Amino acid sequence: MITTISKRLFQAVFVVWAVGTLSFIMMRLLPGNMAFKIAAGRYGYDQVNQQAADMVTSELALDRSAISMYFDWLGSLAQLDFGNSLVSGRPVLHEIQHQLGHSFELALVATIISVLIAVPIGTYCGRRANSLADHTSLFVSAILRAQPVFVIGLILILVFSIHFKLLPVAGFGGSEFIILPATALALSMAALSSRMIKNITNNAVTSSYYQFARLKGLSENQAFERHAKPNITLLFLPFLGVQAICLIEGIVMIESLFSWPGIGHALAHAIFSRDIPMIQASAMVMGLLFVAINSFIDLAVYLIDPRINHSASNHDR
Amino acid sequence: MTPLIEARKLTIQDQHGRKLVDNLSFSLASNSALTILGESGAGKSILAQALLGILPSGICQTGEIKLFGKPLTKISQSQLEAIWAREICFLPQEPSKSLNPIMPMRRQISEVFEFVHLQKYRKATQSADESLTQLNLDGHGAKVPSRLSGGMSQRVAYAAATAAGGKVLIADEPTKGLDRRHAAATIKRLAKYRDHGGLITITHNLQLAEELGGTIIIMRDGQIIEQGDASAVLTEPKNSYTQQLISAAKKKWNRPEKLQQPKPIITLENVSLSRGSKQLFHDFNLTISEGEIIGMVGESGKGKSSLADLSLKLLKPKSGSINYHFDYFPAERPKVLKLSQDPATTFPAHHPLQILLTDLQKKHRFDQDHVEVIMNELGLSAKLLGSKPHQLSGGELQRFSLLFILLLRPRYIVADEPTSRLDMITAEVVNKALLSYLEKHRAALLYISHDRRLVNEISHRVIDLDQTN
Repeated sequence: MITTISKRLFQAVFVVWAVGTLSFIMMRLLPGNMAFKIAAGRYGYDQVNQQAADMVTSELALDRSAISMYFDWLGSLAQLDFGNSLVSGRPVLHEIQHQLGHSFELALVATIISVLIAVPIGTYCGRRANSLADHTSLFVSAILRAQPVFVIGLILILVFSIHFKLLPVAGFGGSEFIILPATALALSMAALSSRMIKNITNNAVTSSYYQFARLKGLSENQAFERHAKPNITLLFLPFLGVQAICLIEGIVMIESLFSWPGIGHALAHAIFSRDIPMIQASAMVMGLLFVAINSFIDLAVYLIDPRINHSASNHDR
Repeated sequence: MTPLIEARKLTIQDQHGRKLVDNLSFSLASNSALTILGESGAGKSILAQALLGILPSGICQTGEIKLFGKPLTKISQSQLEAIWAREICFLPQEPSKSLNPIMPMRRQISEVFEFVHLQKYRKATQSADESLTQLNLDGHGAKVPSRLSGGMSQRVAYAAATAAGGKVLIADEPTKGLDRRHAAATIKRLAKYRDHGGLITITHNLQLAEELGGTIIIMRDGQIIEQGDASAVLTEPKNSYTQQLISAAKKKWNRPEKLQQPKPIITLENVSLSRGSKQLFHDFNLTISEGEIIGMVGESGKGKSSLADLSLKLLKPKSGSINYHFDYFPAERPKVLKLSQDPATTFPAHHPLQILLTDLQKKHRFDQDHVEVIMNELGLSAKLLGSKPHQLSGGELQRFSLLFILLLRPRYIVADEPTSRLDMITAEVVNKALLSYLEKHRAALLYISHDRRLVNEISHRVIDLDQTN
């Protein structure tokens, strides 16, 4: 276990460096004058002129070479200093703190909804493979998977906010604001995970140990409860970790669409105004989030899988 | 008295119309045994499924099965479920696959007491522990199947299968892969069912059939070859296949002559190895010479396979060295090879054997004549080359494994229980081909088996791991 944790820590450090560096390089490759974009972010597009751009350049020393800027960043990162926003001038860490909380809330609610959708549908279809229900679920999930998540979001807005006027279109506030963005994310995740659960359920109920459970006297429900559910859970948990990447990707789009003040929203804004420290920090936080979710799932699997020998470090074959 | 289980003109066909069981009739009376004996293959296991009413979809069945005098077709699903375990117990083939991989052994037994006998959780756990104690499995209750040997899993499966208390037992290959001692204990347990209820055993083990007595049915390719009283069939077999089967079981082996002044080809010097906290070998020395046949016996878990893997350099020792005294370039043509117990795990399931053979031929360039000669010797027909591995029986596939090995002309072969899953006739063919190759090519063999009599007969010397540690 200790080796796993140290491996994850090393991964986290690597992710921080790699994501930060990549976003730095990519921002450099974007066309357009950086000083103008930053000035526009600060004072609005109407106020931007050569003078404002020059001011930004001299203040932030943008005329330095890219290499020296990169090593400056790397040096302060080593001291855990993520720098200040180029636009607001405030420390990046301070800005991100709030946004991270909001994103986390959205991600959690979305994951819970997706599990609530996918598990019942997946297990139902897995126990009745090739039935009408199974084919319908495959059809619907294929259609949903084919849509980018913001299309799902847009359709939800059109139906529930504009047509039925049941829920707010976008924004942040009471609990009613989270319903649409979380559901959009959840639908896109459940489209995939319901099929995954269907397959592992089907494998479990057609396995020889399941059949043996029936033949040794357990009823269908008892056998499912004891010889399918734990086995399905153990396989589904790591899949949630894999899906975390979908979730993080979806969050960037969904937060922008619904103006949800989270880290994805902040990332999009930072990109428009070339706020490199903000971009790097939010991308790094998302990378760390991915590592953290997977470490958490590893830990959960470690705790619930009886095949893992907790006392000895060396497993028998 | 009505028979417990009866089959009349039972025929079972698969999707392609192949007859897995053809026109089988039998009846099992109270307190008696029925043994179905035959080649390793699909037909016999499907029969057990038919008797329990759990044939997979796509398999069709004609004729009649009666359970306790009532036709199976007139038994509803819920009535059938009430018969399972409570009236008829089923001991599946390959218990390691029939046990839930993530549930501790104790729970897999105690749940039967809990849900069938409606005992409280604690009482059920106690009952399960009692069954484990009776089967000499004290202290293993908390383990999951992957941490137990085949023999242990088999006993747990037996405890779980019979916990509900059914009087009749259907056992599918109950001794497959077990060593002699465990097989004998299993036979004793089965005999109890014969005496107090009823027993149907499906097996390829002639000795098992002999000891259980009762009625015997000999099957081949789904056809009934011979049927009758066990002692009569086994002492005076009428059919030539039955005669072959019996002579194979009783066969005495002549080991090839030892070579004069053989050169050593593999030496293990001061080798130590441990698994987990358990030390398997300490300063172990072994020299293997050309033409030598070394037998290896010992209980499960003593490190037979580990020692074999060490000699193949598949495992690295903790200390000590392993040396080959011939040019050894594994990438060119392997000179050391292993024939494993379960051929199904060594072939890719979805490629026809012809393709696998052609690939091997392209890489290692052997004569086509050779292929035919060896296939002939192994009794393999060229028609089988078009099939995919999973379509062949265990016996056919094991002979293909051996074919692929012999074509590469290895200097040293490890045979890890090569015949424990085979019927006796196929086992004889495999052993014969192996021995004649060794004699012809001065190759060495490490033969691992549970069968001490066989090992003593064929080997020049025997490593007994029960005595070394």
